[in-house]
Amino acid sequence: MAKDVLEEIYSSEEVVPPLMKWKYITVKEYEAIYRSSIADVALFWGEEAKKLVWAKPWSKVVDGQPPNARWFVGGEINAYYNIVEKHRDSWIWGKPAIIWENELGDVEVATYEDLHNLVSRLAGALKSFGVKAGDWIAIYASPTIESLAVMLAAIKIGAPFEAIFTGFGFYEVAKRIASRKPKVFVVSDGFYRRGKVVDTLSVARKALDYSNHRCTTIVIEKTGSTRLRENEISFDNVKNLGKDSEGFTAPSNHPLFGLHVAYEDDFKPITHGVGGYLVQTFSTSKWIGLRPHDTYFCTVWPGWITGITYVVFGPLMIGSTIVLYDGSFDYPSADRWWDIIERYAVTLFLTTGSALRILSRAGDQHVKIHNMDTLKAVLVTAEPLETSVWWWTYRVVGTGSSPAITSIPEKLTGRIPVINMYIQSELATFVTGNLINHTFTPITPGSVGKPIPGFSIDVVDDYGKSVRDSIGELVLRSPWPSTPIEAPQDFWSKWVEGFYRTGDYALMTRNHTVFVLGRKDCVLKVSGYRLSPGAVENVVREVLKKNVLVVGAPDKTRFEVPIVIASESMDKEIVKKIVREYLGPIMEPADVRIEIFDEKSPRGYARRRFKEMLWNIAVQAKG
Amino acid sequence: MSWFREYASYLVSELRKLKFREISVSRDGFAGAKITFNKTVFCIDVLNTQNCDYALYTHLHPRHFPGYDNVDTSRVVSPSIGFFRVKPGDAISIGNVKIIAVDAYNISETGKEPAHPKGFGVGYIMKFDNAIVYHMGDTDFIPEILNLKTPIHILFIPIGCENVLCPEEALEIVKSLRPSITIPIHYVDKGFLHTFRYIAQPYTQVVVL
Repeated sequence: MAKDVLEEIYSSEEVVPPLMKWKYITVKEYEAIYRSSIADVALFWGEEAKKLVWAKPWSKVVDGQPPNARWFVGGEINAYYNIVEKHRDSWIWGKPAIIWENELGDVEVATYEDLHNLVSRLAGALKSFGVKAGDWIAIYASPTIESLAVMLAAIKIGAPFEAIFTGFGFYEVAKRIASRKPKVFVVSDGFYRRGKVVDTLSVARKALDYSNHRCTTIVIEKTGSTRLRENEISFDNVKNLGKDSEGFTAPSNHPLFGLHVAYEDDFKPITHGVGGYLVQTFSTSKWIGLRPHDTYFCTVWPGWITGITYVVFGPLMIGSTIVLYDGSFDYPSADRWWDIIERYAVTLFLTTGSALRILSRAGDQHVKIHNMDTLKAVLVTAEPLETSVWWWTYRVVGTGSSPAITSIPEKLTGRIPVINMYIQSELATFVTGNLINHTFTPITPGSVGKPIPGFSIDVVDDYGKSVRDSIGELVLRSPWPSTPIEAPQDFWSKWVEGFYRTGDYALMTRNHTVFVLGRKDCVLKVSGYRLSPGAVENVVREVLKKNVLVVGAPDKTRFEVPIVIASESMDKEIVKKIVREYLGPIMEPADVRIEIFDEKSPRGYARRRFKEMLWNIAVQAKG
Repeated sequence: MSWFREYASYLVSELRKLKFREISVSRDGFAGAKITFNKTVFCIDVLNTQNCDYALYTHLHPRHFPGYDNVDTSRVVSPSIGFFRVKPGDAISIGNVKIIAVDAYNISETGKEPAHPKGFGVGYIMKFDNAIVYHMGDTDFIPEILNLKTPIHILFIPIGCENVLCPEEALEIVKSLRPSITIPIHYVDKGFLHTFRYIAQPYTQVVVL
């Protein structure tokens, strides 16, 4: 499996984009920086932590052994101050923090000052509903100024939040509500997708009923016309219930936010703590290229780790302007994202490999009608990126219309870097990648670059021995500041012999370039989303009373698609409909296949066997 | 592309409105701007004033003014016609909105009479409850603009270089005023837009409406 992916993504080429011609460093220089950073990770991150404002300094950078290592022990920090309020007396305060655009072309702009005023009022409102530090807030809304403000308001009063992706159905939402037991649930009434309204409020209500949890629901009215029920209150009415001017100072390990992460048998909650997470986020946000003058467009939504770290936290900590697009990439046509980049003079664009794959097939003409000369980099996240897609992005998106340094627009020579990076919910931030503002070595297309300073990354074989130029598993040999403070047994059990196994196949070259090759286990990677096969199996079992297996089959567009394996005949359309309704369209199986399997054998073993079979079939079909 | 997608595309691109605090703004035509505040629509240099409650004109050139037969002068603000006649330095109030006329003119470098001599036209600074909009009219880089002390949240700036600012001059204005949002107007060649956007973006948020 991993070998087949490697064929698509491996290259030994090294590319220096013209805009980086005077800024790149050699591998030798990189090695010196990197080795010194991981020689003593506590020392390294301790220095980085000094770049934040702490209410009380830590007594020890890291304490205890991984996975139970705790960071910045004894330190206290006001998270909201470090994200928004620190900009108060600078020019950043008057500049746009968020530009929101929906599919219809409505645009809203909030400056840092506006955002702060809204957040302070929402924080006051949350307090008026009895929310205290440590109480959870859940958010099920598309990305808007309002939904981001709610997350920041929760942070301001010390209430951890969970942003739930709006692509999930009621069953998955209910699971998150049952596990977090939020004091307040914030939902949007709906949003527009390809010209139609997606009704999120009905899903949220069904989820609340299903979870049997009672709490106040705040409804952000974006599409209108819904009559609110008991315990539901309009966002517009909430804004004036109070004002919080204090801001919560928390111990370093206070919970900041959580996500439900896909493991083989289900989605399970993990929680990141304030101190370590903010340190890691601030540093990596700077390194990936964010500056206060940047206008940054990220197509990954809060609800996934990239969307949380590099939309809600990182850009605001830096003082950049965030473009939030609340709509489909191909509506009304496949140039919508390029149009957004052109109209808002976007300087940094972050998206997924799947999105680029689809857009590359939509045709160059959608790109060429737009002038995107303001772009200084395209960042890519979430999954392996084939060299063919990398080259398309580099040449067609990244060359621009005006020559710069050595670029020649009419020859599509490329101009700006296209940088694929590796992230995982448990790791919280990017941990590999060429860093525009730090260690930028020549780019190897298809790779996720080299390890980022501070993260002790290795590729090991089944016995835990480092391997180079052959396939193994990506691991971290040292703890990282944002090691989750709460996680399921699945996470703890991935710590073996003192290092953390990410669950991803990878190949590392002798000069530290990493190629990530997909999951070693049977967790699914669909369009960049990490999904749980067990979650689908559980729903089919609960609703249809059938015992099935779910595995990922390779897919040319989405990397993998879920396939349901049933040992007896099932109506394919009913299975799809139930999964779509309960779990959400992103988890809808591509197919239901009848295969005999021993229902008594361990599920993990059976899944692996079928996954291998599906990948072999795909390889044979290709060959 | 189906008719539906074409229509959707038209809606998205032609009717784009930007909401900022209590106002929403949009472009209308070559140099026109529409500002909606408390359901009252203020139009500046808009040719079709059908949905406008008040029409403000920076001067009476064809791409800015629809002609005497096409305006209701009782609701017009301009330097030369209408109920509210203004000259640079004048301030009037319409409801809770304060409108200040400011200088807008060309500097003759050849000795010839410029297209927009001093006193011919104006720019408008409009102060709403929490938002300040500045439509510059047709102007060169003149010292009066650099002396403005009021903060500007939204700036409508001409960049087309034809009897108005060139991108590099427009940049100097932006660097001086530091508006939160800058909306370029008054250009035909998109090259001017691309140049302006590229050089001005670090000092303001350029939004192409």
